[in-house]
Amino acid sequence: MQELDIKEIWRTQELSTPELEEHQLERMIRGKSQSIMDSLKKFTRIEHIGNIIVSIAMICYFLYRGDYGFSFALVVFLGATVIYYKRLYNKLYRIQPSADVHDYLLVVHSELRDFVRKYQISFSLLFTVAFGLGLYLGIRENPNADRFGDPIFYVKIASVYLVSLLLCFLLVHVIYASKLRKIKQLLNQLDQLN
Amino acid sequence: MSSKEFFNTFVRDQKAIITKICRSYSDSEEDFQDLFQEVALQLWRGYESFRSESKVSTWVYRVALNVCLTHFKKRKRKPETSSIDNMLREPVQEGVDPVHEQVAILYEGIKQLKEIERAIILLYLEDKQYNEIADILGMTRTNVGVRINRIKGQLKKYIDARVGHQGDMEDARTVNA
Repeated sequence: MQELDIKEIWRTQELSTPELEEHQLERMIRGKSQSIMDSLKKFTRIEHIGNIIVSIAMICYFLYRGDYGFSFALVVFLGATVIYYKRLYNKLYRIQPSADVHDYLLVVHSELRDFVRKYQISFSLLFTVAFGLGLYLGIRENPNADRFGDPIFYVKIASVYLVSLLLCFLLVHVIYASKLRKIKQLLNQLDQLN
Repeated sequence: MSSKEFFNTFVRDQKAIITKICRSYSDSEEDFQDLFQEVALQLWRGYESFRSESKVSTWVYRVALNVCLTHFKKRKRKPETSSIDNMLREPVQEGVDPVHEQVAILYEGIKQLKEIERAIILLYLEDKQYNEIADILGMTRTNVGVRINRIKGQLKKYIDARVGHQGDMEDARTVNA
């Protein structure tokens, strides 16, 4: 029996390559990217803009209330985040799909994992600071309010805090866990082959 | 470089490579179009910074494979294993040109492989040297050779089984007639 030559079969294919017109290509290269790295860049940009808006709003709020200490702390925080995001952008924009497959998968997996960790840490810190600060300001404004002496009030606060935190963690997990798993599987396949 | 120059000097030459890779990693026409668009977009973005340190084709294969492997949107999950024996064997449509049929079966077989194995065999079918395959995938040359032989064996087994299965069906139809 004649041995099957898969290269020969491959060569015989008449490619029904899409007939591309110039305007179609123009639309393609001006279109939105669906790549995982581009969505990370997009989310980082949204996150950075959100951060700036909220920080400025809070600085104005504390200045208006005469809380100069909080305002100063937020200015420092804002400065630190601007530096952080600038470095993050530089790092993300250096990642190109022209690297070899192993290196590219490795770097995408690492960035994605860092992104998820960053969200988990940020959510934990921000929620703790937000709830703590809210409670502190509430007690400072109205130290004799009955609710501050009621343990049930603290249980409710803690429940809202935990549920909000869990929901955010779950959201990040739903969005990124399967992608992380898939890239890890690809890396494992490559490592097994090596 | 303008998009017109990019189109005339580059995409026309590389379209066949991009098409074959995207076709091997897509489950539907919609998937294929998404992948093709994404690869074209990433090539366009990276073209200015391409420094000719590697061959153009190596660069195109890297970008196309990286895009296809890390593309998630609208993709159906493929089975984890590539066990040839356990694969579902749908009969090939009747009345199709035998050459097209063989190519279709070959693509079918390629799609049953694990994603990285798919990349290796695609590069082999495109007549890439082991060194270049290793360079594109980030593997060692020796392992490329070993793996290609195994994957070829798997593919041949699949195609034989599919063709044999179809032959049996045709025999049965002749007997019934």
